[in-house]
Amino acid sequence: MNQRAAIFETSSIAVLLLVGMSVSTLQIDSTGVMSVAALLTVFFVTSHFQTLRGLASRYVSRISWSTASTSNTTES
Amino acid sequence: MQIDIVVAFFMLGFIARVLKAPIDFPEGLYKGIILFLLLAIGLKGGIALNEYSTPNLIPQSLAVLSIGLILPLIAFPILVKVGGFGRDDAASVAAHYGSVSIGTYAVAVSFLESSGAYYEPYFPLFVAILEIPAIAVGVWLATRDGVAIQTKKILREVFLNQGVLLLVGGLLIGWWAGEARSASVMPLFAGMFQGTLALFLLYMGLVAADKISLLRQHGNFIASFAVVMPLVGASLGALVGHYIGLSQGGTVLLATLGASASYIAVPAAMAVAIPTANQSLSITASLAVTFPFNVLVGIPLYAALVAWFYG
Repeated sequence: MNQRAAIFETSSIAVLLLVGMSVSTLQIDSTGVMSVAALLTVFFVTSHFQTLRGLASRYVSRISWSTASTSNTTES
Repeated sequence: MQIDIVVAFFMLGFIARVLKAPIDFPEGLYKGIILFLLLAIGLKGGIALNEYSTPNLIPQSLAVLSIGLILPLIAFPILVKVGGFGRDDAASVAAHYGSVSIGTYAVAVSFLESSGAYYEPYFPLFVAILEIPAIAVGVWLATRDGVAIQTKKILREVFLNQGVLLLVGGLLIGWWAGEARSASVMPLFAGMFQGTLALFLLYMGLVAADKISLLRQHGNFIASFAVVMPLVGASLGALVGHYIGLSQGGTVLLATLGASASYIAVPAAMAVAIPTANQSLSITASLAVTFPFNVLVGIPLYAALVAWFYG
């Protein structure tokens, strides 16, 4: 995965969310911008699904390893 | 969400193609509609120039020209450094985003006229001005390393392509004829404008739905770029519009022009100037993402933000 492209993609979703939130505070209809942000999020998740799943499983295994090592230390 | 009636035709075309309805829109009719829209917009602007030309026009035109020069220079490094595009592909896409879409402009005009907002009537002059510089910058970006180019062929394509020729031709005829002498042809060009624009948008809906499938092929980056770049262009357009003293409606139109990406004049010019560039990338971005984004979300958003800014 091109990391810079992935950062750009997440940033663009963040920018759209920011624009959406800003316009709604100005009492301007933000439905369109928020819908586009949601669409881009769906695109992002589907196109990077494998990478995101890999990241999530690595994170989960790190948490379970850390929990296990903490309980081992307590028992000993 | 505030949607103009002509935009509903775009949605009809898009939904029909998604549902695989057998709508056969003749290619010849589309070409005729483009010809009509270019002439109608040019004529209207020319007649306005004949009546309202102001001394501010030259500095305003120069400021508008700068948008066409700056936008490709912003887009190019993003495409190369972030998207990992080759120089030719990046230059071609950047040129599309520096130039303008006559269809998006027509929708913005329809949006303003339906809400009764005033805008500078000579605006088509700015549309014509914005068609050209991005093509030149795109060619320069692609050939900076001393690659030989066919200058004569490119110049011919830049200045004599259908978009520029008909728009500038219409402007000159309208400017020369004025309102009185144009009265005999205006029932066609003004009276049928909205209906023809609706037909054009129906076709664009069909095309946009066709091109959506190509997005998967080109990756998610191009979809994000095609949404973020219009926001950058609109901000630059709105800033310049405010700085050169345009009316609220004029600023909305300049923001829309900055946000739009070409799909008529620039593809033809780029095919000659940078034949090695992948044209499908630019067309997918501008037609499948940027055009629908501007028509459905962008124009009402730019109008609301400019209205808030002008108080």
